[in-house]
Amino acid sequence: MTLLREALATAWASRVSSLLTISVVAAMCCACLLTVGRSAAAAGEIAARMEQAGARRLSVVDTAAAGFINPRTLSMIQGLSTVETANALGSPVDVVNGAVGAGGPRIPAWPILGEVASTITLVRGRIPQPGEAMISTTIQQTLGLTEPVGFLSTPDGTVQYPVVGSFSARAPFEDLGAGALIAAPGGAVGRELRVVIDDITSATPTVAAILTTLSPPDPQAVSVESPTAIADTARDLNAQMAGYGRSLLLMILSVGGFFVASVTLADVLIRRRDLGRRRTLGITRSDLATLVTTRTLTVAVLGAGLGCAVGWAVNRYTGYLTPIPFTASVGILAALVAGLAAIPPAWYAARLDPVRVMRTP
Amino acid sequence: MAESTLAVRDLRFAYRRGAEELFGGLSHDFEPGQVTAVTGPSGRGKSTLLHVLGLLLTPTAGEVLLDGRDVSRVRDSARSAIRASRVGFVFQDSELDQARKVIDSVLEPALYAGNSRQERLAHARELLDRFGLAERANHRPGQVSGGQAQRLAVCRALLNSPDIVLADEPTGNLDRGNAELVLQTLRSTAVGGSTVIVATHDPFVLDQVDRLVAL
Repeated sequence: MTLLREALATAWASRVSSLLTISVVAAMCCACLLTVGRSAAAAGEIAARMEQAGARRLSVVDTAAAGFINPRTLSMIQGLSTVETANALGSPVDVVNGAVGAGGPRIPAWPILGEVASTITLVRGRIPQPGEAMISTTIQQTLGLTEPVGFLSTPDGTVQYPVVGSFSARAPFEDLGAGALIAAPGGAVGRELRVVIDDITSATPTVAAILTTLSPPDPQAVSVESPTAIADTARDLNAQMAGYGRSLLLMILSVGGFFVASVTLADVLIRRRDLGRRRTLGITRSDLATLVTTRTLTVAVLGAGLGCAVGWAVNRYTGYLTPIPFTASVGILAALVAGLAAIPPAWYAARLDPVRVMRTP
Repeated sequence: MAESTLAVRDLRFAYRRGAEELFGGLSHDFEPGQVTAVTGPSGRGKSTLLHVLGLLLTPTAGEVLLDGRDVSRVRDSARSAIRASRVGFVFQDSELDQARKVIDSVLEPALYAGNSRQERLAHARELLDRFGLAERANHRPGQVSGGQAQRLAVCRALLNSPDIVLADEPTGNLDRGNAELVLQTLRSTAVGGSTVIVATHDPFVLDQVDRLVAL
């Protein structure tokens, strides 16, 4: 504590070198944040997009209507640890407002297997039971309904579905907002399996697990759309950006460290009589080295704080939201580099011959 | 404090191999309670002897005895500890820290002796008061006279109540009046039980010391 107090006092006494050190460290932090920080912000944005449900959606289509998407396989897939939600849709059918009849506007209606609530947001009424329907809020007006009541029917009127509620479609199933959902009766099979996975990085093993579960009789009878390629691209892009960022960070910190070392050495040379007096009065070499290093470190912390604040603000102003942990890490790293850079001049100061420097005018 | 004795035995020193050897095998006991002057022509090693006694230089041959123990070749950290706690230095040019208040300069040795600033603050003020410098405590070195600066340097040397005070030409840059004040200060320090050694060729100082070591 005493040494820290003394370090602060000497930093104040050597205002020019302290200001130079603050400027160099602040410039280091700013440069890091305006270059590497922007890369980190971009990588963070890509990662956030990858985390959105739309990017984590995969679908499997039974193109030959082989029936392998059924309540049993759906239940197994829902049980996979990497699966957030899973639903199966049957082939859509055209329906009309039953009260209007075949002359009314036609809308698509998808039979849905599995838990409906995980796919949509219920707006009015209730979740349908098998054989019942619910309509999207956007399509309600098209059908000429003021409330989600009544019934839908096939245009020929042979099949009717009571309307028990309305819903708004939820990402990544926005396409369902263009029609109605019909709760499929038990034993029905689906045509398309829609799965949202927990994490995009688990896309590849999840697809493999799903295909194993479904066991399609003919590989040609199944079509898979998965975010695996996107995930791979994002991973490659992030790796490249991270590599570039590391090189740039290393270069900035090296150059900054060199400048800090130079400023500290210049200060040691200018104030060598002061250091010689301290040695004569009894400070040990290790304490003197610690004093010089601590003095640089304390002003470096100020510089790091200043540089990080400015760099972060400039990035934010120009549309890059640099993550706070990254910004803090840059500040800590810059201060540590400055502290390390001060060690050689501090060691030199500790080795100065006090008799010689006190005799030098 | 008056119990310790500083002594040298067969002391020789050369700045480098083959250079002129100083002191010529000097042996001497520096008594507590006395002011001893080290004198001689320029280049005979007056300041160098103080640096050897202050453990800043290692003799080429011979011993520096503190309480009967040779301390001239102990580790640097041990020598620093001895300087911090048992030796007070008075430089020719006072060497106050120009960037700080004089009270901070006076308190500086407390830091190296491991004493807290707060612990020694009262003693520092007492020393300033004793030497008529109390009103200057919060001044900068540039705001005090040369004589006051040198008395402040003596205050700094006495802060840790050292057994030994080494003063290198303490009156060299002062007029007679200020030189007398500084000398009085050093004499009163010796009366307190310290061993005071002054390197000087000032006849005024030489007239007033208890013992002389001529090099």
